[in-house]
Amino acid sequence: MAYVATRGGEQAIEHAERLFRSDLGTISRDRVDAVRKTMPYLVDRLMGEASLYEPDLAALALAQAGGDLYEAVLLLRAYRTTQPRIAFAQPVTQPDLFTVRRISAAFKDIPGGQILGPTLDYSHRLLQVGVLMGEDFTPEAVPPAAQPAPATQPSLIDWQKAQGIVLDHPVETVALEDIPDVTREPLLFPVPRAHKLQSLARADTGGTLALGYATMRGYGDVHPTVNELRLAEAPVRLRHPRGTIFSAGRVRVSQAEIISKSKNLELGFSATFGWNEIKVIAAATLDIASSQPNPASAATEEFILYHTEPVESSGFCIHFKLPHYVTFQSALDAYRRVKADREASASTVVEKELTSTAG
Amino acid sequence: MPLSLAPTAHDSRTNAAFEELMWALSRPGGIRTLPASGLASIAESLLDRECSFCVLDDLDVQQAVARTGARAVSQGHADYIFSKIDTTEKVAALSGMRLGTLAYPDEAATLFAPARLGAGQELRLTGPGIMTSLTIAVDRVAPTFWEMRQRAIRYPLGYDVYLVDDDRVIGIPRSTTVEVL
Amino acid sequence: MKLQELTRPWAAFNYGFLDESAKREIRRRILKAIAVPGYQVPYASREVPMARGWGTGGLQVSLTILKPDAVVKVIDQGTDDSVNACSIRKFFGRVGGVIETEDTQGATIIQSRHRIPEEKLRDDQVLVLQVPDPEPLRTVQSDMPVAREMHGDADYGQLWLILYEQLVKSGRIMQYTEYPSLVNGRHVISPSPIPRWDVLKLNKADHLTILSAGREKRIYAVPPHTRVEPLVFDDVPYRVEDHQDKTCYRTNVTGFFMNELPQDDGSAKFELSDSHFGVKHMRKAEGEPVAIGDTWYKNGKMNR
Repeated sequence: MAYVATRGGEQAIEHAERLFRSDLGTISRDRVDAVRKTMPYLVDRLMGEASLYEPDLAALALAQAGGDLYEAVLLLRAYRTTQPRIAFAQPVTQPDLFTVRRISAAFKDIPGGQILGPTLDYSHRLLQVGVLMGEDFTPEAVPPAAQPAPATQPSLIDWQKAQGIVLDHPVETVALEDIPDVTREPLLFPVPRAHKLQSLARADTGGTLALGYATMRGYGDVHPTVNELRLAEAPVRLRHPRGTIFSAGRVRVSQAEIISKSKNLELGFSATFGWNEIKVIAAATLDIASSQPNPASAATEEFILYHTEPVESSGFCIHFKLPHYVTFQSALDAYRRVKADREASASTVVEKELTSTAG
Repeated sequence: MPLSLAPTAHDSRTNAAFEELMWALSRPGGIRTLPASGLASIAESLLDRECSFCVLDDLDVQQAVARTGARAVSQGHADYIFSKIDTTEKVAALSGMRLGTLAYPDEAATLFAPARLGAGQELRLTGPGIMTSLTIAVDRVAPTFWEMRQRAIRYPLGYDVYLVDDDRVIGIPRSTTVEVL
Repeated sequence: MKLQELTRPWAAFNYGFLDESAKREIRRRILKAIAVPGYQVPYASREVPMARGWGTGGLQVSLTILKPDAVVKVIDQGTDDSVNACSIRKFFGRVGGVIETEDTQGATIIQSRHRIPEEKLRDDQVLVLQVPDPEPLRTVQSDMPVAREMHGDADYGQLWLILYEQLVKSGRIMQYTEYPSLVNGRHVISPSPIPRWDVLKLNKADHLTILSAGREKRIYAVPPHTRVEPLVFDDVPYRVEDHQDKTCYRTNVTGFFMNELPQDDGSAKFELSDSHFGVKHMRKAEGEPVAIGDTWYKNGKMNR
């Protein structure tokens, strides 16, 4: 009998990939544009988790992966790996942000006002089934305001820090090129704050939500209030070799400040690429939870940062699909030997008894 | 999308230099041949802006190393040290080389030193990478270096050393026991 | 200085996929891993076009040492034909233009998930083992920083305790794969999920072994001619899987690690796990001139 052709496996995987891709059909520029234009929040979530801001590439990743978000994150992250570093952007502060939405649950009104911006928060979640019957769903026109909202908003937390209500995190000033970078260094615990915020910025939304929700429900000593939630565009400013600082464009960012009323008023923070409110609220809550002196076991830095990593968690989860028959064979051997040993010693006992009764 | 299937000349050189360093350290005392003479090819294959270095004496290497983007620091702080060790004074100047910590022994320094291989002081090497023992001859290394190394190394703490003779290199990791014969 | 002097012509990917800074970092880590055999060196671990948990650590090491005339063998569970091994081998071809082989004797780099080939490896070969969990202390200490301190202090008492408890409960040590082993008399490693059968091959071998965990971001190494000793008690010898008398139904070869194949009638058949070793025997039996290398095991026993 001839041995299994050693090309069999290769052909199988090639065809499996073809089967997946043929279901999706041809991926054209049009399809990518449609994803980008019609699913901006999905694109934003992906860019945040991939820590790579390029809406076209993100839309392409989604199109290529057929909408499988974990596949799309891996595509983008692997692409990111190949991109060269050419510069470090200037730090962005609150007053720099072109702020589209900004609300606070901590106070009824705040300097600059509560700006609702684009949100479905107060909408009725009614599925527009008429669309499936041919009636297009055309959104109602937005009446222009009497006066435009200001482009930027002051920082509420600065007011609170000035009032002495909230303690600030210790600030470390380093040269731009010395800021720790979690994508180029291993995560070692206890982590520098930069690594923690970067990890949370690129964390899996679902995982962050699950752990954040657990914290909010009482696993841990955190009682959160949304101090400020912002959806904004941040300027990407670079320094030209000749010295001028110029803008290379803007990126959408979301950020949340959470204040916890535990022993003191403590501040948690999270920001990410793209507009993703659920993630930044949950992540900022986890920021506080993991900074507690005795965090709950599911809220330690190690626990939250390891388990909200989308590429690592999804990859390891699906790796269990790989063959594990050698380890299984080895385990079988161990259990069988124990059984054999027991049977052997049982028969020895019987022999001894027989001999002693016989003798 | 076309994938790059051919390395550049620079890539090939740094790849080859690293391969020789890898085997040199895996088989301590065994002579390997680098793709180019001198310490510069070693520097370009290993160093970049994410590490620190210290060069004592040789100006040519200083520029090559600086070009990698690595940070220049003192010998007591450096990841990678380039220095001659042929006199008692030069050896003494390296007395602060990092040894790592028990939790992070990899934070120890690596020393690249010019030497003459195949002549001079005989040394017997034993340890990982060596079948039983290996006797080599090394010149232009002051005897105080081996004494300093012996005192400093408390395995796994200790520094790792490469001796470079033109385009030939040997590696002596901290795991090697060196007996001066 | 002109911008042109600082840049290079644009290419979609670097040779070997990883960019030069990623390669340099891994090169530095590999050297430290060799200098302290068995010590887990942390590294950044880039994302590569393969899911984590599927061999990205092994991949990054192989990609770092890859060159156009490298000859690469990739196996999973001992077979070259496994879908994951095929996928990885194809990737090396795509990004490195390397020569692909199934022949253990012909390879310069062997990347493997969970097995060491039966033919002895030589001093010009590098074995890259894929590691899911590099931390042998995980069962006694889930806090990684504390585990690191324990390695630093050679504080392995709790590991011995676990093995002793297994002895007391079950009459034998129940650790099947990932058998904790002492390297160079100092650091305990998980040798990766290779069977106990294979762990002995690491001891004082001619070849260099690099173990790499991509998801957990650790590289460690066993240089040639280095002691690797599975943890055992003086009066309880190390036991490999009971395969010394098993015969491969395809090749009639006896005394090597086998895959057990359940049969319809309740019995089991065995076939060589090292599939290309089996292929070579079959070709030889058919009269082809095939070079089968010297093996670590002879007559079902480790030849030391």
